[in-house]
Amino acid sequence: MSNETYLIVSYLAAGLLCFLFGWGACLWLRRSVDGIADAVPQRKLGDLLRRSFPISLVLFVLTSFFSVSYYGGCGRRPYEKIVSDRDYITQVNQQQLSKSLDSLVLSVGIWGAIILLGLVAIRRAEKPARNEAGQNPGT
Amino acid sequence: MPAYNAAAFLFDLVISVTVILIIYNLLGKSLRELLDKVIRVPAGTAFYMRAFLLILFCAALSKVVSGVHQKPDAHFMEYVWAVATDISGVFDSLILIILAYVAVVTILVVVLKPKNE
Repeated sequence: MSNETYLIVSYLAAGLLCFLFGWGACLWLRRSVDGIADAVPQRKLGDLLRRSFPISLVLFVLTSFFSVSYYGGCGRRPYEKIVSDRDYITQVNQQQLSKSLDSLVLSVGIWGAIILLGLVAIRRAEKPARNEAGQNPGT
Repeated sequence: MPAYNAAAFLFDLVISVTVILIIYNLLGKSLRELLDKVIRVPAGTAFYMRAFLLILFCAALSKVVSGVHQKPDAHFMEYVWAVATDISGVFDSLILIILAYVAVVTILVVVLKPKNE
């Protein structure tokens, strides 16, 4: 395999792996997010949570993957030098995976906060219902 | 990847996964009971338990995946130090995540105010 082919294949493989990380995380958490979305009193909000969850997770991961540059930091590495050094290509691929996983942690953390707000909304909707039931015990 | 680097990477991975499983086993049961009591929506408990495990794994993997980059003529102890540096990074992440998670659970308890038994 030529170095150029190696660069292309490794880039695509790393991208696919990052996408699978995001999608796998979605599948792992999706059922519980759906359950919370169903319990949220406002149906539209539930729909919004359900639909935006997978999109945001995958986009977060892919954004981090795309943000890693092969050109390096301050001293811009020329293309020929990038292609000729397989170790460097592997290191960049590892960096892409690492950043994607970091962003997955961040996005799940943000979703944890959003779900917390959803749970507060569910609890607030429960209270008036209980109060009404308490005022009309015969019904 | 040279064989020694691959072996060091695998060693890194095994240690990290073992530590995560130990942490999850230590905290999992009481955390689930607390969440069940506070949240009272089964899907909510499931979300926070699954998110906890996922975050622990992703944070550890993100450190481990950067790999060990020693030259083939490196000495045995240099590999050990490289693995130790990686494991240190993994532990740093796990500590921060556990602290952040405890903070979130505390906020849940304060905001949702479970009834005392």
